[in-house]
Parts: sequence; C-alpha cells; structure tokens
Amino acid sequence: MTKYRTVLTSAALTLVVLIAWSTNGQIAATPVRSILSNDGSISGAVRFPDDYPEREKITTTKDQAVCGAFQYSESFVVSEENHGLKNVVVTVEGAEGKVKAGQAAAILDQNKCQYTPHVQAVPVGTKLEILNNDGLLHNVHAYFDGLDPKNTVFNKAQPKFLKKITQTLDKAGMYFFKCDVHDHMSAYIAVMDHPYYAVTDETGRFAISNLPAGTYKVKAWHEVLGSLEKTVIVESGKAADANFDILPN
Amino acid sequence: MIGKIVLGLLALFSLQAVAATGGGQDEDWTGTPQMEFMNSEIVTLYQCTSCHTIGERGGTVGPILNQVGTRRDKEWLRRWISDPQEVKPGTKMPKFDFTPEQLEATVDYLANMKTELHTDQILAKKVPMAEMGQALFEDYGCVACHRFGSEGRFVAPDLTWIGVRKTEDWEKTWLSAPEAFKPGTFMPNFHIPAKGVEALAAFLHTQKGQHNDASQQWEFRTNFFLGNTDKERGELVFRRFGCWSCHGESAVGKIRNPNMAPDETMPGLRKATNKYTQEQFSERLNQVFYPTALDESMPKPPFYCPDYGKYMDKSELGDLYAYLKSFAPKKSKWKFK
Ligand code: HEC
Ligand code: HEC
Ligand code: HEC
Ligand SMILES: [Cu+2]
Repeated sequence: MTKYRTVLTSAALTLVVLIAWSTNGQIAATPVRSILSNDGSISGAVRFPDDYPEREKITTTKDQAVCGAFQYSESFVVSEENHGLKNVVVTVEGAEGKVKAGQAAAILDQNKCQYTPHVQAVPVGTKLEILNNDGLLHNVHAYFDGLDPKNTVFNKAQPKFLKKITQTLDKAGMYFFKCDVHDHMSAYIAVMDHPYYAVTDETGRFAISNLPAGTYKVKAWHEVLGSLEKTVIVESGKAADANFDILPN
Repeated sequence: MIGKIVLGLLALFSLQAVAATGGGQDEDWTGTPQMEFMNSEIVTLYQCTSCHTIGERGGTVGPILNQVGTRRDKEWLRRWISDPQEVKPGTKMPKFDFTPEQLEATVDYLANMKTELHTDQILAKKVPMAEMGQALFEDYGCVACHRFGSEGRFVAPDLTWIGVRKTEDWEKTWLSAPEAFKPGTFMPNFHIPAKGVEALAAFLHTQKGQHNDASQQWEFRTNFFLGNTDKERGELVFRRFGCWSCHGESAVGKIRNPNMAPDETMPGLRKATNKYTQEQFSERLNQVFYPTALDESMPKPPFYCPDYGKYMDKSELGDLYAYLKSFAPKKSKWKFK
C-alpha cells in the first residue's frame, strides 16, 4: 500500500502572539460631546520607516495541490509605496453610538487554505458566512479573547462539500479563527459595540467619520505589535489626524 | 484481518520493538474494518484522515484510530462524535453535522475497528514483568495517543522518559483507573487486570530514554510543525522529556499535585527564565526537587521535579532554556511609536 504523509512543514511558522484585546473600551477621557451634530472625523495612517519587514514565506507540505507549496504570512503586509501597514484595527474608545442593526452578512472565505479577509471589524450581532470552495476539509475553530483551548467559542468541521456555514458573532471583542488541519491558517474579527472603527487598507490608511466633536482615545491594534492609544481632539465639521508610526524596538 | 492477527502474534512472540504507528510497515489492510471505514462515505466525504491515521494513512493531529473500538465503547463514541467540545472543551476535533443515520454509521465503523487483545496469553507467559509490560503496551496500542521512541502521536505525553519522572506506584494508580486520579481525563480506562497493571508499570518504570531515537528527530519535528531554531528544538525537548505532563501544555502550569504546598498545583514555567539564569536552570535540573507537603499527616505529593538534567546534553539544556525564554514578555523587532 502506498504510504502518503499528510504533514505540514512550517519552519517559518511562527505562532502568532495573540495580544489580549481590551474589551472594555471606556478609557479615562470621557468625550465632551457637541450638541450639534456628528460631523467630525478622524483619519490617518499606520506606517513603517524606510526599512520595513518583508512578507515571510511559510512552507506547506500538506494538501499542496490546493494550498500551494508555500504561503505568505499575513502578519506584516506592508505597502511598497508608502510603507503603510495593512490589517490594523483602529477604534475610537469611549465614543457612544448605536451599532447599525440588520446589516449585511460578513464573509470569511477559505480560499486556497488562507482566510480572506485576514482581519476585519464588524458590528456586534453580525451574521458571519464562512465559505469553503477549496474542495477539502477545513475546520473552523473560533476563539474569543486569545488562542487558548479554554477560549473556544465553536469548532466546526467544514467538509469539502459544505460551501457555507453561518454563525452569529454575538459578543463584542476579538474573535480569532484557526484551522487545526492547516496550522498556518488564521484570521481575526473585531466585533464592535459602537460604530467608530476602521481597519487599515493596503496603504495603511483609515478613516472614521460621523463622530461628535470631543476628545477621544484612539486605539490601534495589530496582531503582532499589540496596541497603542493616542488622544485625539475632534472638532465639529473637521477631519482630525491620527497617525501611528512603527519603529524598530 | 487474518494477516493483521498473524503479524500481531509474530510481534507479540518476539516481544521486540514496540508498536509501530498503528501497524507494521507492509501490513495488508485489505478487507479489514479499518479499510471499510477508510472507503466509506464518511471518510471520503468528511476526511477524518486529515487528522487521523486509519490503516497506514492519514494525519498526525489526532490519535491513530485503528484500535479505537478496543478502548472506547459505543456510548462514549456517540457522545464524542456528536459534540467533541462537550467531552473535551477546547479540543481540536471539530463537530461534524451528521444526520442521526450518519452518526450511528460512524459509531458502528469506529466500534468495529478493534484488534483482538491477547492479555491472558501475555500474562500467562513466564517472562520478567517489564517484558510482559512491553507486550501489553504493544497489544493495547498505547502509541495511538502517546509518543514513544520514534512512534506514536502527540495527543498525550511522550513516554520515552516516563521512568525518570513518575514513581512506579503512581503509574499503577494511574493505569488502574485514570479517571479516578484525574476526572475528565482523555486517557481511556483499559480495565487492565491487576497483574497487567503491575507489568505495565514495571515496563514504564524502566523507560529512561533507552528508546530515545535521535536519528528520528528531524522527521519528528516536521511531523509536529517544528522548525530548527533553538526555541523550536527546545519545545521538542520539553515535549520529549515530558516536562509538559507536570508543567502544562506550553508551560502554562495548572496541573494538580495533590497535597503540594501551597495550592496543590505545579508551577508554570513561563517566567522561569526571569528567576533562573541559564546556569542556575541547568544546575536545578541536575537534582530532584521534592515539593513541600501541605499537610504533613497526609500522603506526600505524588509528583516531584526529576533530575532530567543528568540525561540531557548541554545543547538540549540550552534549547530548553531558549524555549522557556520565548514566553518571557516578547520584544518584537518592531513597536508602535
Ligand atoms: C482537525 C482535526 C480532526 C479531524 C478533522 C477529526 N478529528 Fe477526531 N480527534 C482529533 C483530536 C485532536 C482528537 C483527540 C482529542 C484531543 O486531544 O483533543 C480526536 C479524537 C477522536 C476520537 C477518539 C480517539 C480515541 O482514541 O479515543 C475519535 C473516535 C475520533 N476523533 C473520530 C473522528 C472521526 C470519525 C472524524 C471524521 C468524521 C474525525 N475524528 C475528524 C482531531 C480531529
Ligand atoms: C486515547 C488516547 C490515549 C491512549 C490510547 C492512551 N493514553 Fe495514556 N494518556 C492520555 C492522556 C491524554 C494523558 C494525559 C493525562 C491528562 O492530562 O489527562 C495520558 C497519560 C498517561 C500517563 C502519564 C504520563 C505522564 O507523563 O505523566 C501514562 C503513564 C499513560 N498515559 C500510559 C498509557 C498506557 C500504558 C496506555 C496503553 C495501555 C495509554 N496510556 C493509552 C491518553 C491516552
Ligand atoms: C513529574 C512532574 C514534573 C516533571 C515531569 C517536571 N517537573 Fe519541574 N517541577 C515539578 C514540581 C512538583 C516542581 C515544584 C517543586 C518545588 O517545590 O521546588 C517543579 C519545579 C520546577 C522548576 C522551578 C519553578 C520555579 O518557579 O521555581 C523548574 C525550572 C522546573 N520544574 C523545570 C522542569 C523542566 C525543564 C522539566 C522537564 C525537563 C520539568 N521541570 C519536569 C514537577 C515536575
Ligand atoms: Cu484548513
């Protein structure tokens, strides 16, 4: 009988450090709100200096026909153009506002043994559609608040014929997804109980609008870098800047 | 099946090398319940073999399933397959949405995947206890979950060095009824007769690394996702020597040691490198540390920290230190300003 090995080598596989997500948003500075309107905004970018990390390669030797011979790590996706860092979750702490109910479903696609998007932020109560068009088994192991077996929210098999699983994200905080079949697969979903948040794009930029004037703590969170807060003053009808620079440690 | 039994008996009578990964290399599985399951709709559609080895094929994430029917009854299997998280919270085994028919079919396939045990024959043999124990170890297929020498899986602690870290008395207690010592443990109760328990404990207690196979280490690392940095080699040492059976999976601690001061739990080691320099650490590992009893009038805590350092070379000690150091608050190369 032919013996095949389903083995995944991943010399470069570094266990992602899950930095605890502070679920309690209210920080010292309470926003002083304008009675007028929610027409302030905050925008900015998260950027590396000239010398920035390259994307790491992770070797795969399991299900290579679908997963490919290697995968690029998604922990540091940096723009060549402006050194902006993708996948940073930026939130305005201590802002009040209702999350929009009845929104469209969020998507977590398992595509060639990689989750897309790698990081997203959605309102609490969002229905999540988990897709699998890979034609092989993935298991969707979701954790809340850090990668620890005891933090498991659910762990569902998604066999090759099951194209979609739906799951409601009903707690505000950080969800983490991992496949135990393909150890390198990981994704984050920040579930928000207010509407003032964004995830940085390919160029590391973000914008948060419809904010009442006030003084806010703005928090940037990244899966490897952890989080940092800045105080930002938002004036009515104006765009305030919040830039986060990354430096060698 | 016949082939399997013949091979099983051959292995048994020669009382040699301990069980291979669920069967010999050239074993013929044609027509066995294992092959039946392998070719069933359940495995072809749901791909249990992504994580489990059945026959000789499959993944290394979960236990080898060839003998699962020998150690688990239908009721347990039904509970497990219906909702693994209920039985073992946090397990990597996912829940499959089976119809009641599929569930029953799976349970039947699994319960049928057994091998005949030869307990009585083995216990009747006039051989030293440890030798008898080795035959039982093989017969029960303990390497389905445990790593031993170059065989087995990492679902349970590596037993290659078990004789250094646990007392024979405790091993007997454990083997007679694992769930009595640790409620909720994933280790099944094999209902081993008393003499068998004696024999197995005698065998395990002689395991002080003589089956350690350094030449297998590379294959081993790739099987378990480990690279070749100091830290990753250190993780391997941590697993191989079974530090994790007392200091917890990835050194988090929280494992019970009855009557140990102050709170009956063994320490995690994630901050050990703050407390001990590399030299102090190596020195510490060269001697046995018996913990203080909480109540002197009660039986002593069963677990002590073994003198593993004596069995390690310098590079292993260094790698182990690097592994533990990797848990100290990390300095990423980059930080937010
Ligand atoms: C993502 C990996 C994964 C997949 C897929 C998977 N399992 Fe498991 N399974 C495990 C792990 C891991 C364990 C051991 C429990 C633990 O350590 O958490 C286990 C344990 C078991 C056990 C108990 C084994 C024993 O020795 O007691 C059975 C039975 C089992 N699985 C059957 C199945 C079947 C049937 C399928 C397919 C329908 C399947 N598993 C799919 C990971 C998996
Ligand atoms: C289904 C998986 C499974 C099988 C099969 C199994 N064990 Fe275990 N065993 C475990 C687990 C899991 C533990 C760890 C105890 C815990 O944390 O619950 C363990 C612990 C042990 C320990 C203590 C290890 C230590 O480092 O302290 C010994 C000794 C042991 N098993 C012996 C055996 C023997 C002998 C057999 C075969 C007769 C066997 N086991 C079969 C799962 C298994
Ligand atoms: C059989 C259980 C057992 C095993 C296996 C074991 N230890 Fe221990 N270890 C203990 C106990 C119990 C203590 C606490 C003893 C004491 O009170 O000094 C301890 C304490 C320690 C300490 C001191 C912790 C501190 O906070 O001061 C270190 C370091 C340590 N162990 C390292 C190891 C390493 C490394 C291994 C594997 C090579 C290992 N131990 C294997 C039981 C064990
Ligand atoms: Cu996967």
